[in-house]
Amino acid sequence: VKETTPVTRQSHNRPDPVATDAAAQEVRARDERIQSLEAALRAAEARATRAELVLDSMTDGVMIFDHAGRVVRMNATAQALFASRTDEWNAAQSFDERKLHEPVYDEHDHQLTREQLPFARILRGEELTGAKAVDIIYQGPSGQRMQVSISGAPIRDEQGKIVAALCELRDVTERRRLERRTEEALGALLAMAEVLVRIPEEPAAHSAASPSSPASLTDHPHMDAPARRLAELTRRVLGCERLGIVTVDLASGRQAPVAVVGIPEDQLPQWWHGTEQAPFADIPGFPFIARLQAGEIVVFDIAKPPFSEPPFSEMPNPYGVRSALIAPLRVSERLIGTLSYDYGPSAHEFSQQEIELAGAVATLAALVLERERLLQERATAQADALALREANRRMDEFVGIVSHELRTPLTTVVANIQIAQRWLPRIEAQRVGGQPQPSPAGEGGADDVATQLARLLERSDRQAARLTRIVSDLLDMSRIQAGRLELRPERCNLIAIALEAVEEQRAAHPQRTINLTAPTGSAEVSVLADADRIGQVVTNYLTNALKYAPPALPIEVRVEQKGKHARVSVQDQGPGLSRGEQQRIWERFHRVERISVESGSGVGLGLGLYISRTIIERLGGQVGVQSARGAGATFYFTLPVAE
Amino acid sequence: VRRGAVLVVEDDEDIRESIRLILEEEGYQVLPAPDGVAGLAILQQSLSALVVLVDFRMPRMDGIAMLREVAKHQPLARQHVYVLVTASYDQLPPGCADLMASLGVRTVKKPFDVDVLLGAVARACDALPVGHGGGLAGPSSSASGGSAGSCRAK
Repeated sequence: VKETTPVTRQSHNRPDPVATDAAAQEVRARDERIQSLEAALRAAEARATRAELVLDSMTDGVMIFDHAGRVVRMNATAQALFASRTDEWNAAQSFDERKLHEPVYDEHDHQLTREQLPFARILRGEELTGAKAVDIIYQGPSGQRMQVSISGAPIRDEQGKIVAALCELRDVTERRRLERRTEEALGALLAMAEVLVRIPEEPAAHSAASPSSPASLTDHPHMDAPARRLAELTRRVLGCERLGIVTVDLASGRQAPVAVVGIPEDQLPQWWHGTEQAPFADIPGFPFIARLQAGEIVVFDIAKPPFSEPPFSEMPNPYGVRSALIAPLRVSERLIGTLSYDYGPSAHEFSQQEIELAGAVATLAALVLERERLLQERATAQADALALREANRRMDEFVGIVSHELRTPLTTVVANIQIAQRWLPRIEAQRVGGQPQPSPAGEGGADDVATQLARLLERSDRQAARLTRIVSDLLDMSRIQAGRLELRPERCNLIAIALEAVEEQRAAHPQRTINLTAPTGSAEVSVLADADRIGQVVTNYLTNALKYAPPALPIEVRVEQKGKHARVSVQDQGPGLSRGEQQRIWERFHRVERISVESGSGVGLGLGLYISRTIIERLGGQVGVQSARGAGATFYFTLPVAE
Repeated sequence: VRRGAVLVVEDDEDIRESIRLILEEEGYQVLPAPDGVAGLAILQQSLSALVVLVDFRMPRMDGIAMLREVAKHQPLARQHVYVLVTASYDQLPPGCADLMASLGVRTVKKPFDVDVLLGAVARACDALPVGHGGGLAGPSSSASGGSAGSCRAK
């Protein structure tokens, strides 16, 4: 306001018209000044209101903090973001007092301290602009997870001192969710791709651990690990509720389940069985197989015909599926399976983008399945080759042992025939001369040719019998292998069978002691069995005992009856068997390497106990051995007593 | 007819007896042994040269193991001549061809022809080193100054 000139000095007694005029002028000027100030104030107020309106109408939240961290301004969007926390809005309250920040997390779910909050960082001079904007996560007004991106910068006075912090807040909850979803999908796709290019470390072990492959899953009610992983990855990519993968065989119209995810564990067998039983066939009024073959993705909408009408509308829909998508799994344009998924009872519109994604994922899944199948084939081929090599090796070994076992008795037979042939001239001379000839062997002297000849024949006979036994064992093994071992069970006396076997061995080994004990006061223990075969078992136990036990020590044979079971045991005082050996001796071709024979041939076919076990088990009994290293062995068998 | 001594290392009693019969009839003296351990013990005690017929598969010590022991004791290797008589001629362990070659071991396959066995023993006799008398083990036999020639003498 302009300074006015003083005019009061020129008149004192009477009003000076000039002076009065000046005073009026001054009043007017004051009024004008007041009016102008009022206008300026109104304009300022209007600007402030406009600014407030602009702030409040902003879609981003704005908060201004003073240097002490008190909220001095918070627009409507910002208030809405913290609605439940700012109900009692009071400018005098500090941020801390309003507990706006508790608890607040960063995007890695780490809880932030007050000093780590964005406004505090800005007040310390940080500029959180552009890429430096930070996300905070907290529980929103209605309890939902909120994610807010905060950017901002400090406000400084003329001296550059920070007097306030300006924060801009943006709700990024939905955007981040979508970003995470995309990230997960990408991760899952990458994992699938990784499965495709990864070289399995041990394909053979893999095949052993998971025998079910897409090609042979029909027999295996549980998913194998790679298939389950494939299904889970695919579900992650597509974000659906339930996802199933099946392989199909167009020629037979059958389908085989591979994997399913999103159904409760207890419903899995039902799904699996149902899928196995259902044919892979077109639905009347909805031919879709040709479309799948052509690589097309098919969407089933339960709300639309033919599914909305009988008979489909009356069919059970255990998962309340509203709509489902089926994508073909094709390898070289050949349909090998399908991938189907749904969102359960919630309404879902399959967008073009989603259908395209499903197609891409199905292509990848088909490759993964095909790769699994090829790996499986390779593993099977390797296992087959290995088994074949092992079978050949065992066969070679077996043929070697058999040939040795056949040649050994044959050596005696052939040698004794030839010796007899060499003696023929002398025998002829004896016949002509009528006088006994001295022994051809010279030294013995006393024995005549006939006695020597009898010994040759006896040896040959014994070895011929051994040959017969070997051939019988081989035949028995072959019959057992072919499931054609014939047994003729009839009522027979176990004591008589044991006695016959014992006497036979006593005669063959007169220098050995074989004792037989039977229940006192009983001449009979009746069993329903094949007497010849039981005799074979007792003889087998006995010959083993004779072979491995020291010749000076007796062998005890016992026949017992305990309740409804009869038991025959052969006890020797030989080297005994370890626990491991006790289990393996019943296997085909098994011979205990450690133990050397005390008498007889050093080799056997390793078939005797195997055949014995088969005979006894087929007759409803059991075999066993009680032994310890160095403590002899008792081989036994039990049979049910005949009623 | 006096010929050399033959050690028969064979676990099968019937085969051992058959060989004894065949060789004694031809005038050989026969020393029987049921396994490699017993055979080796006789060899170590023998001062005279022996023809040694060795079976392969035997308990305690098989024929190849016995020949390996012989190869470790060069006096035993030089003094005696060895013949492997085996039914497992097609099942010999790998690496034993070198051992057999180094000891000059011939093989007779079981079942054998009596003439083939006698021929092999006769050739082995011929191969016995001069200076070691064929005959029973013992100082007296050695002192008698017998030679490999005694094998051939009919």
